[in-house]
Amino acid sequence: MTAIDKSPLAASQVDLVGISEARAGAIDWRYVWYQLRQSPLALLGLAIIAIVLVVMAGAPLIAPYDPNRLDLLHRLAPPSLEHWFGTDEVGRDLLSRVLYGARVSVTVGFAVVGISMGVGTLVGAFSGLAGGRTDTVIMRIMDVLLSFPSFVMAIALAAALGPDLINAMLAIAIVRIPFYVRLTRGQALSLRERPYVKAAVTFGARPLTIVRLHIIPNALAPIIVQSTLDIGSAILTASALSFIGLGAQQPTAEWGAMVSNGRDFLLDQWWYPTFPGFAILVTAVGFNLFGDGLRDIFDPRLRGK
Amino acid sequence: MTADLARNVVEIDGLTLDFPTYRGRVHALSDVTLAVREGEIVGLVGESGCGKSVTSMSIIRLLPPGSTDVTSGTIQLLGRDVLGADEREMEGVRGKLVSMVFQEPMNALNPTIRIGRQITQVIHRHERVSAVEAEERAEALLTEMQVPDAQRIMRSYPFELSGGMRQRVLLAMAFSCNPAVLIADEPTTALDVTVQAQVLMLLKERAKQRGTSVLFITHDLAVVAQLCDSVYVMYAGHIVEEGPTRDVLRRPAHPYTRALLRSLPDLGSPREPLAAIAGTVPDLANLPTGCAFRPRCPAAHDACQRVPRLFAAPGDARHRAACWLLYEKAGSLESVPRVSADDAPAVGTPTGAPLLALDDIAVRFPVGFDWRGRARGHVHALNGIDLALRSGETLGVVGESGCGKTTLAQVVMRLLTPSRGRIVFDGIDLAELEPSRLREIRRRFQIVFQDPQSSLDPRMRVWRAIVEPLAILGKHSTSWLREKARALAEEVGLRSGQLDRYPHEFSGGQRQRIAIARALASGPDLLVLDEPTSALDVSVQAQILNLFLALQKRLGLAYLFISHNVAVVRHIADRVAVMYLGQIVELGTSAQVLDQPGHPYTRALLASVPKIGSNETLELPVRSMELPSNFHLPIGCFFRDRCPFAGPGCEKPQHLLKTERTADEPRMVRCHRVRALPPWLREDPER
Amino acid sequence: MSFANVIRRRLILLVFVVFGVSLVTFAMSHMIPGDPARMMAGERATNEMVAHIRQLLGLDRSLPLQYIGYVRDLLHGNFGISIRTQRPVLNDLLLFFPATIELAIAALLFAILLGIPLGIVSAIAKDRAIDQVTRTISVTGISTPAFWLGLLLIYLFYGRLGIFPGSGRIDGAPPLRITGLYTLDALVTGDWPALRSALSHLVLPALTLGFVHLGIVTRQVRSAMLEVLQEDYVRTAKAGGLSRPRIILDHALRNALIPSVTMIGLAFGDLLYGAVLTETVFAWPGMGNYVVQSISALDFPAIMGFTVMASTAYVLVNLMVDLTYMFLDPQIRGVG
Repeated sequence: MTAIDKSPLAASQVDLVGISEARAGAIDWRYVWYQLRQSPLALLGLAIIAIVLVVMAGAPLIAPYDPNRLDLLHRLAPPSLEHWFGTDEVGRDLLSRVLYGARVSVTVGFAVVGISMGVGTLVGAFSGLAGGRTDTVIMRIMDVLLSFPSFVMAIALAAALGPDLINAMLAIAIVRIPFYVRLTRGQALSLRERPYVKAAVTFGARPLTIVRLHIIPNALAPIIVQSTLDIGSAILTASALSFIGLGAQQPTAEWGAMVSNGRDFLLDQWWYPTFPGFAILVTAVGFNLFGDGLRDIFDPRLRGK
Repeated sequence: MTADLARNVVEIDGLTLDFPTYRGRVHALSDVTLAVREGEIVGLVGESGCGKSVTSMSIIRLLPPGSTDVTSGTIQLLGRDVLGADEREMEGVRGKLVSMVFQEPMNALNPTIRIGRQITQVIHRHERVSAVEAEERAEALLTEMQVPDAQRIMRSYPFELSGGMRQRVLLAMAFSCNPAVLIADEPTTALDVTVQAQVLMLLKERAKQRGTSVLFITHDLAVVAQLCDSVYVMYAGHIVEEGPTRDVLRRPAHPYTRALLRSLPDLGSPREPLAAIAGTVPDLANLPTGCAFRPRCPAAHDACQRVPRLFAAPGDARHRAACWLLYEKAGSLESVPRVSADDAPAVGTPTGAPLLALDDIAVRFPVGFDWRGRARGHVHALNGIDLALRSGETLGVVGESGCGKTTLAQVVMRLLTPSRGRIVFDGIDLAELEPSRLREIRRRFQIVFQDPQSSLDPRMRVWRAIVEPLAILGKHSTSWLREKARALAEEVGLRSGQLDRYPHEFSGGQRQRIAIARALASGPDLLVLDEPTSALDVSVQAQILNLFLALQKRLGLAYLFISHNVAVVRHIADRVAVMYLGQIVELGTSAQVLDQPGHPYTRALLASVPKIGSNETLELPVRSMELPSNFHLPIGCFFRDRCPFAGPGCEKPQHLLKTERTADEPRMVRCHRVRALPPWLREDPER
Repeated sequence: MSFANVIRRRLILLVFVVFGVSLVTFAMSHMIPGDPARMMAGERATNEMVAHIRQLLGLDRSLPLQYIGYVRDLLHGNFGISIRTQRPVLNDLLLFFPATIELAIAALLFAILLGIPLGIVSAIAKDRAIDQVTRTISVTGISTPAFWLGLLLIYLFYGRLGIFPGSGRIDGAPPLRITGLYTLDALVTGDWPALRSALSHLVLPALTLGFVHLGIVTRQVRSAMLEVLQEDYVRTAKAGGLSRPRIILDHALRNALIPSVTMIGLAFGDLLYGAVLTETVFAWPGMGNYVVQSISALDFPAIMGFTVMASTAYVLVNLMVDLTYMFLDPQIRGVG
């Protein structure tokens, strides 16, 4: 999980990704690329994301076996040339399952962030621009929602919706919405005070025109950074829910569920839970490294001169 | 002269320094040679990005390690080599031999440590003294820096002090170990003029008393005139001129210095076009060959292809400038053509009924909400403003920070709804308009903001930004809009070939031109100019001021010109309103108000403005430097607590009184004793 | 904002949170597939028995009435009867609560004691090798699935090396119950064998849970330090000749820790998340383990009770964090 400020009091001290105060300058891509090259870790993150995406798209071509093909003769086989990651208790090839698992996990990651970002930014922008009582009511509700421990709520929601990957995904997406609401609202509030927005008011621009012309394009950068970091965290949470039995169900090749199944064989067949878990780790590391790199680039306070 | 015999405290010799960046090597300093003698106050003056701060930071090696690359040169402090010293040695030097005061007093003190400890820390670092001794010394230092109630301040945290007070604390800290030299990097730039005058006077007195040398970095030639014994002028990383202050400022030898001096608006000669310097400061990553000023210099010729060294100017041998003209023929300097100015505008001829009338405008902001969301009190930003502005006229509004002048701009633009009072524009009461009618009439009054950086959407191409008002007001074809943008750009002196770029690719002055073009797009009658040149260097400021005058002549615009800079207002305004704590304290023609000020506050303001050519000692213009809060407004005259003339009767609220009438222009002063005050002694502006 | 103000605001928020949680949990208990009464009665129960249980549980009343009853019960500390253990949920939770607290404190201590120095070092040596290493550790921590790390540690230290036990809280009899934290109780009562056993059981779970937070703490301290180190007042201190360690420890750290307190405190919410997984892996008899077992049994009173309790604890911790923050920041303290 990424550490995210949840206290209304501290809102001004620590904003979500530390860049809502960014002097929104047009993105100088030469600068971005220069910074990325300076930061080997961010580049590593980018490379990992690229590899995961390739695996995701090309799983049928890359995977040596059908991920669901049973082979009862070779159950729980240790890693070998035929089965690099070994096989599970019904003889399925773990490498193939891990490769196919990328599809599930990454899809879940993107879907969660897509839903929570989509809903959250809309509500946040609306709240920030509406101002007044509407804004107060929405933000008080968000305060309450942010005061729920998010994972506990996700567990409760997922349990109520029934153990299923889609439900788990929804549960995680729902509890993340308030973060985006607050981030976007903060952006809208700070952009609203920018002279170029005020100038647009003096031209007689309507509120919706201002949102379209000035607010949305300029609020995007910090939201993108936050969502990059969030994809990693969503993948982790989804696999955790699967691990405790609230997410993907058999026979879906999902990393968290695979670790859960492999748990019973830990002491004798260490490879079984190890490789799927490692895949989660690497993917999350990729998104976190890249997100961190992006944040450093867009955060003028860390930029220095 | 004794100064000649005195040894050099700081000696920089041939310092050349680069910053390696992603854009290539930025040549921050090129062959800089500079010396500060014992007991001398030396000015280092130049526009932003000229390398003056880099120079000062290099002296005590405060630039981030690894970020710079010294390619040649040496720095010596009292004979010690700075560049080769190890970090431990430098720590012993900083604060002890050399101390430094920076520009932003608001952030220069640690917010979580008490003032007393921040000072004693430095004392303990360099001297073996007991805790009690250090405390006593810190307190004495604060008292010496005219900090009232030093004992209490010792126990305070920085957020409890005003900016001027913090700068005094920083001075106390800087003087705490009796350094041989004090480096002051724009120490008063962030302060209001009345506070600046006090801090400058203090700095000068204490330095002279203690025999401390001062290297004073500033962009303000007038401050140099009042403070410094000698001066170095920097341009694009080069020292272009050096010498005794009087010589350099009276008989500048380098074309850049001459142009810079001529581009300053002056209290003495209003409304004449300023001699702006064409073009902009060169990119330090891509310096022109030869003399760095060559592309902008009216006297540039073949010799300028090579870098000039410093040649002696006629007169004092210490006065030298880096210009080939001096080497070729000293006399030819006088024949340097005057830098050409824009066409000369005539004085505005205001006529008819007011275009804009403000009637008893008050604005207050709720602050300090309690847990139920109710306000605990109000900030009184404007307290009853009456103003009228006619077509084609420029009304200057001048005042220090917190006086409400920016709030006034927002109210006029209807970005803020006043808590009380009426705004009438061309006979129409803006408060009674429906939103759609208000949107329509908005095109007739437009605003230009202070910061050209943030007043343009960074993600919008410049041509689109210029015609944004038109695109918002109606449906137009792209080609028509582009043509419009081109015409508007030409109007404000922008090359139309660059309009497809983004704002960050333009310099500050160009961005301000873009903002002006945008404000002109809808064909307004009134422009509100909210500190439009305050973020710009003086040479660029001159360009923009000339542009305003030319536009007014051409288009018959009315200006509401808001500024903290008295000289700029004197230069451009027909009439002036002086604001203090949300009230107008004096109103009249520029000549009346700024040449013969009536109100004690206007007098204090004018006395605080540093002037070139008047080298006399600074005088203390106000009694208390703390501005009263507009949270709890003072009772009676708002200026009473700081007024040197306060007496009986001042405890009652004051009204604007008519004091004299020239032509049809009354002058109003909010002071019941205005007739009893001593006459204002106007100094002769010497140039 | 004054202390009283913050406390008041937080308490009002608490009321709303508990209200919101109760609403959510109540709604959830009615969304679940299956019939709780039948589940409770068991596979072979007759329809009459199920109806009887339904009446006992109040499931035959209208929804609003059921909700009012539910809230009234909550306010009386009555979280219902666990379907799985057949005991009052509150009793269960209180029984398992100390184990979770013990684990959380141990993990937080590990994360803070190691994370703050790492964060400082990383910031000071920005972009140097040690910074890259520290950032890698930190990002790995944040990206590690706690349940998987727990399994690896069990395999290594229990399965292979046999140094630490792989599950449970203690071997043999627990120490005399005072606080319910075995290590503390054993220390107080001088029960050395119990202390030894409790500590050795605590190491792996605390390491697992702490590693994730190590990442969070390190990252936060690093970025706060970097921000503070380029403040003007650090330059002032430098210009005064103060030594680098002095500047870092006295001027920078002080100001960097203030925002960090908030962040670290808020990580408590994530701690709960980690605890659920860690406890499951190590069969640690805490609330997390309890709730996971309840989930597989579809034991809704237990799940709801856990949710309400965890949320309340979370809001209270946030209150303490805010107060600490205000205490550390002289500006707020002064005004209050």
